[in-house]
Amino acid sequence: MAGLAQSPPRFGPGFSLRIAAYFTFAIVLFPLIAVIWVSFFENKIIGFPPTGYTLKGYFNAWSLGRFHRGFVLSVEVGLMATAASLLLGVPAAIALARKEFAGREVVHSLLMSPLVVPGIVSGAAIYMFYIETEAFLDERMHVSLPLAGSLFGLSVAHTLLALPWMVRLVTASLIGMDIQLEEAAQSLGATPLRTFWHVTLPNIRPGIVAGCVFSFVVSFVDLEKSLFLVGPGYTTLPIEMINYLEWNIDPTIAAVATMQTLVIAVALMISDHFFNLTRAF
Amino acid sequence: MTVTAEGVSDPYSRRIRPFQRLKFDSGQALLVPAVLVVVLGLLFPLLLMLRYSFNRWAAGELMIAAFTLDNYIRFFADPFYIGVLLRTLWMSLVSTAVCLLLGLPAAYYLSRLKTRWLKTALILAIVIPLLMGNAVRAAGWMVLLADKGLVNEALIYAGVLSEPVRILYTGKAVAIGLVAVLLPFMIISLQTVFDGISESYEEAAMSLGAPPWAMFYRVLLPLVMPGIFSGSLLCFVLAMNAYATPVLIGGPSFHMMAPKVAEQALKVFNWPFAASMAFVLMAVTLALTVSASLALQRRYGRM
Amino acid sequence: MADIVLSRVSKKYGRHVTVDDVSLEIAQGELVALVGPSGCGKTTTLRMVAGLTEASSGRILFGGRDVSSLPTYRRNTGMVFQGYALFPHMTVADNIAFGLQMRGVRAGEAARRVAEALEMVRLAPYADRFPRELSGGQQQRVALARAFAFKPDALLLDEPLSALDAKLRQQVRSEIRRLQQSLGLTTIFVTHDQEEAVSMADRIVVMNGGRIEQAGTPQEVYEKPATRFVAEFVGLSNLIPGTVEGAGRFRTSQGTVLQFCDDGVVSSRGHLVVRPEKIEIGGQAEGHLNSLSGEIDSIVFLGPLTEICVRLPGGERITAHRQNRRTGGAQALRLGQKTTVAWAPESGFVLADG
Repeated sequence: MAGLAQSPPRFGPGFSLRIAAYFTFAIVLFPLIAVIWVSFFENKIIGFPPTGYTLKGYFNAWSLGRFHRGFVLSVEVGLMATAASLLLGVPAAIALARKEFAGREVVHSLLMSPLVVPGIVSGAAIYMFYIETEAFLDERMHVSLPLAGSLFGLSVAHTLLALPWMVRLVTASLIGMDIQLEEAAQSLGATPLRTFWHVTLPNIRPGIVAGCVFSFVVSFVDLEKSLFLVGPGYTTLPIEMINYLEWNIDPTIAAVATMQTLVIAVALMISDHFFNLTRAF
Repeated sequence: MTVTAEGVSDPYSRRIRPFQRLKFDSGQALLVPAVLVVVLGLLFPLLLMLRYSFNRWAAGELMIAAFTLDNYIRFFADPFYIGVLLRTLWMSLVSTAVCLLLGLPAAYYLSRLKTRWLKTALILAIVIPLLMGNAVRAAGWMVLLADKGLVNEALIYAGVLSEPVRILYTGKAVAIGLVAVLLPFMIISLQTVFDGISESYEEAAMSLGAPPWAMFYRVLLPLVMPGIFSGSLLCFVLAMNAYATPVLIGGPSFHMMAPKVAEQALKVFNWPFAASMAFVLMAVTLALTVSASLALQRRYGRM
Repeated sequence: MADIVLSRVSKKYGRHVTVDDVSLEIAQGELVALVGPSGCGKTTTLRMVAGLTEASSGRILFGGRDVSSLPTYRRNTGMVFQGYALFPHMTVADNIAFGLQMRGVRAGEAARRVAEALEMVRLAPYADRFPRELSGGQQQRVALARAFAFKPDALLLDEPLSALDAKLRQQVRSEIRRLQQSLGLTTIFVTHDQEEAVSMADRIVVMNGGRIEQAGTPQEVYEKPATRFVAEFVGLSNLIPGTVEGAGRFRTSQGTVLQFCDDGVVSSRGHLVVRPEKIEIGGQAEGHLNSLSGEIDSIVFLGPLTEICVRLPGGERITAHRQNRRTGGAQALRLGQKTTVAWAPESGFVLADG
């Protein structure tokens, strides 16, 4: 009977703990279940009990071009942001985890800073920055480089969302790794580069994979930051959804949400199967 | 050339020494791209926005270059906006507190759970909603809490109510929505710390005669404090910055800071004012989290 | 202070039986050691007495009172955990006071009793330190003080010495014994080290595979092991296979006839058991002694004694321990030397097979 959680199921502290815990889990799950349930409703205006069940919501969602486009854009941006945060974040993590230098804490805080700035604020700021830069390049250098409302601009903004997670997860993996493995490799004659490739990299793979997964998911579901950087006909899926939701809730949007969740969940499970994600945590 | 007791000293040594600390080797070069991106993509735009917050605005023109505190004065002089700030603060504090109360038993239970499949299932249960995005989760609550939503209909069916109770578009609903969004973060923060607390402490306390409540209060709580701090801080910051939840569940007449910033920037196009509000939000959040950290550190020692 | 009775206590985890129908009576003030190899059920048994693990069946009584369904915090036992489990966020004094506070002892009285406990373990100057500032041995003493400060009905120790180095272990052993006797605490302690059990306990309970193999005083268990397991687990034993041929006569599988102390062994096939220290190497084979010849196979100097292995013609090896009474005494022996091993008939007894 270790602690409270292992109490036998008689009434008492163990029991009420269990009730409280499951109540909490239910609160988190409730909206998800509600959305999935609603997606099968027949009645367009949500009311309970439903008049019937149908798959029409899904057909409708599938046929709406805006959701297709939104999905494709979200995936594109997600992949670009992940790739960028990989290229930027892994070297940075190596420097932070393996080198001692003055100002290491400062650099670490700097790389983590996007996490503490509200999405709305950093989104607005980067938007203003883009407009200014566009104007500057246009007027002074006669170069037309669209930033706001462009794939590039969006991707850069999303990279900033993803980078802290990549750095954090890869650093944790590096710190958790037995450094004697690297020392052994070097004593056997491997140069730093070869040590990294043959010894370090395979051992931090869980961290890197977790970083990629987090980067993609964080980018995909982002709302606040993307709000400023999208335009008509050029929107990410979450923003398409919130635009739709401000006017009505119906089985269609519920179907879109369910499908999105399903796609990401399946992608996660596939990654987990190949890369064993749970080890990274 | 200077002559000292040790002999003749090198004329260049004085000049080299100060640079030694700034010695730059290839290792640190690895950081440069990432740092550059953050500086250009975040710091610089924020500074730019700070500068804008001191500009003037006229309807029809985005900005008029100036240096004035008008925007900030407008914010603090208007009881409406003060109300928005206070409401945001209040909602964040309440949601964080409720999250903590609910998160503690859930995290403890999850941490001590020995059945592998159940533990994985429950962790998935709290992580998968994060994949939906905040807009969809808010939509889920809209479905549940609307006048014709599941909760009302169920209560009427059960005979508890005779007509629907207004829940959606009130502060209570926003609080519920926020709590549901923040709970996973709180639970994970707490669970990580609980995992590090050996069960032998609990057993020792109980073997010494402590009933469960005393054991929790005297032994578990002090040891899980770091998790409570980090979880609460995280949830508080997320709540202050919340957008989708207040917008969808609160409705057009429920005002909170982040939606207002977006509104001023994207609908009214008053960039200077939007910028000033953004900084007020950040400053207030920062001030509260830093002072809370300091106060708690002083009381409980270094975490 | 109370006596403890375990009555047909079992613990099952699904199909796996960790503790199998164990019954034991511990007198008030007695120190009983539960010994056995890992996984024999000794720790599970202790935890069931403490109330940390619920028994699948059977009853546990303290002073005649059935405590089987009482939760840990109502059983009034004091437990010392293997890792000490000292509360890291409390000082030494606060740790020791904890059990008193749980029982509602007033602050002044509690402080007095904490000081008393600290005196008894000789750690008075460390009252305001934190556990992390103390050495392993000191932490162990704090854990002990914490467990007896509130005068429990029973003191339960889970491998209390396993984390300490050899020298420290000896010191702490005698301290625990001294403390337990002066306080008159009924004590159960669990260990896998049979030497520890033999030196500290009033009675030893040897466990194996969830069952009690033998329970008795250290002398009883050592000199008269009830089963082959006990013979081999407690101390070293020489086991010579063969058959009983009548009163006090044992024929080895090689054909030699040996005398032994007949306890009325019924079964005919078994092993003759002789402890190494009872065996003499070399010397004259006096008529009434059992004697076997062989070659010296190994000589190991162990400090106070020398361990000599002799290989018999049939291939078996006999281990003998000879006290190094005189310096250089071991030099007289050489590897490969032909010699005799001899022992008095009363020193050997037979353990039946099956």
